[in-house]
Amino acid sequence: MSNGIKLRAPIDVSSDDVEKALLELAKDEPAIARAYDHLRGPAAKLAADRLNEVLDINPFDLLAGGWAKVPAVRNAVQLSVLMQGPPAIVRLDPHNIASTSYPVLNINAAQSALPELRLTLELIVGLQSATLAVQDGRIELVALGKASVIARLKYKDVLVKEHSTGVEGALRDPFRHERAAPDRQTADVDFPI
Amino acid sequence: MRAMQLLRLGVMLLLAGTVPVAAAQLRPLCSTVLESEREFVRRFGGCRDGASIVDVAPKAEPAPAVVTPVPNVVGLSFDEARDRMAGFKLQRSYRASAEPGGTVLEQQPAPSARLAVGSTVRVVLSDATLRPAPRVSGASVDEAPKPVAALPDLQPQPAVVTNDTRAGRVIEQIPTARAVLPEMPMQSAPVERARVEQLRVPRVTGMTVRSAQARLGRFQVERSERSSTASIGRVIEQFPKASARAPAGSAVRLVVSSGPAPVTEAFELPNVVDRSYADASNALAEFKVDRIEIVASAAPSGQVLAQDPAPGTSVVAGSVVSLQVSDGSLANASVTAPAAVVEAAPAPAAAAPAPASAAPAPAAAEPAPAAAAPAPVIVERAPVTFPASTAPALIASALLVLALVAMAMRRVLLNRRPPEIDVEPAAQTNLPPTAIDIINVPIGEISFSARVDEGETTIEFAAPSDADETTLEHSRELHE
Repeated sequence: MSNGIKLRAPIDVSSDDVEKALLELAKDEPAIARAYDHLRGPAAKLAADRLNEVLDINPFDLLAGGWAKVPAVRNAVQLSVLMQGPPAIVRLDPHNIASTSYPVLNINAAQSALPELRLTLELIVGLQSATLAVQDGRIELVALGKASVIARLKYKDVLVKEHSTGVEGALRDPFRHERAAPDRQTADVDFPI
Repeated sequence: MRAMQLLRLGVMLLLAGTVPVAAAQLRPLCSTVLESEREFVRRFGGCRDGASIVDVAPKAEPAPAVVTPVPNVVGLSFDEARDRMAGFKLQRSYRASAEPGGTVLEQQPAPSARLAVGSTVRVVLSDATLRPAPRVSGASVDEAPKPVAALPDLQPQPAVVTNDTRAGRVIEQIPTARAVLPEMPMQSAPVERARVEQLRVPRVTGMTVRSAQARLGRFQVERSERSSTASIGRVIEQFPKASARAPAGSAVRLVVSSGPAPVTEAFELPNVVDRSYADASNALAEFKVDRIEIVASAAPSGQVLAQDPAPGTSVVAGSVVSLQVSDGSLANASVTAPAAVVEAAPAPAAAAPAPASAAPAPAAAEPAPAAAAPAPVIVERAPVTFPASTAPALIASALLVLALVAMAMRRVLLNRRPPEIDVEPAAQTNLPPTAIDIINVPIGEISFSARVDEGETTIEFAAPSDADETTLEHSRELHE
């Protein structure tokens, strides 16, 4: 089981995805077109593994970036820095968070760099509700309502892969690994997205 | 006549005035006379004093006082302090203390202050009229009187308080340990005694954590999680058990369900050797293929040559499987050359002499059609076990084969076009000359690295206004 909630699950890049994207890249980059035959198959699998490694990130970091833009959350965070006290509970009504990032695959052949493959990863999370507990300048607790997750991997405008899933609401603590004492280590819970 | 008298008188007066002076000038200097005889000779006019000596040289400055730092003597006996304070004058006084008599309690100036040698340093010494109180904190009440008994004038006076520590333990003592007491008994020192209220632990299994916390109001709650078929967040176990008695304020550990445990199922590893990589990936969908070794081989490109663990091994889902995959680079030469599994490496084409009997394969000399599928290869290959236990001789023979086919392969690679690539012919013809080199890159030297460049994150609410979007409150209840 994985140690925490990872974004890799909805965006599991496969060798086919890499080959598809490289094929698009080959249309723009003759060097890739020349080397394309060597970049397929097992090589594409290795490339997919590299991409999956860098996509092994916590989606709550992305979500927190969106929540931090909400005035109520931002004010609560700022206030919690200045004042000690009980956590400020912020309940968010239905909202969508869209995060865009750019996975980049660098290809080296014979110590020469080939043109990089720059992909676009769109993560759109629709949340029925979210309850945040803000204390000491940080979001400590998250209670999520039902959520839908759509992940899209694209090269330019070409859709390489899309995956959508739903998440049942549950009380979660994405930062528990920082708060748990050794004698209070909690069991791993996989995020079902 | 009268003039002669006057002249005679004048001569006499002159002689009377100058002779003593001249005689005085004839006397030796007193400084030249022996010191033992000097006073006697001087008294009778036998010597004369010289001119007084005037010191015209500037007077020398008085020598500056030597300043040294004052050593630290606090805690030392007076004798030790005196030895260490050599060069300083010590002035001592006494103060009531529990330290051994004569121990330096304080010094002035403070240590490290710089003081002229010979200056006075004041030290305060202990008169040993006080004594430290015994330590009884942490001991049981039964044990506490023992150290106290060593001081017969002390009588423990227990006081009972409710606390979360173990019953019967001394939680505090007054005076505290090391506190000083007068040498003569003046008043008994009271020692407090703890008694803890015992409470019955209520049953909280099956409850939510919040309800359990409310019910365990006078206990501390420690929480841990464990997979269970119970609903997430429900208490599935508690320690101490229900109805047990525990001190108020003690910790009750709750084990909370984190949902059903993941199913760990063992699978028998399928045999994917000789299958294509795509087929192997599908067959190994339950496992994690984490290492793929690409080797030069006469087998078709992408064919699995070996696997680890061996087929038939019973492993759990998600286990790591390593594969050895052919790159197909020796496919054209395999008709005449013996098949071998070798590491992909640059072939020493120019260095290796070609045997006379081994001629380049005729098919390899011809440019391969761009869209031609790999020709079926008939290879009689010994069963390969993974990791490959290829003998050095086999590697050497494979290198020879590589040397033989290197030139032919070069031509094949230069003229081979990706069979499925959809690239405009014009783009192919307009390639820069440097791009041609990529074709000659050995397959094993292709490497990948990846990163994620940050983008932006936006949030959008369905509700029209901020007031409807969010509610803010302060609460302790939700902060579990």
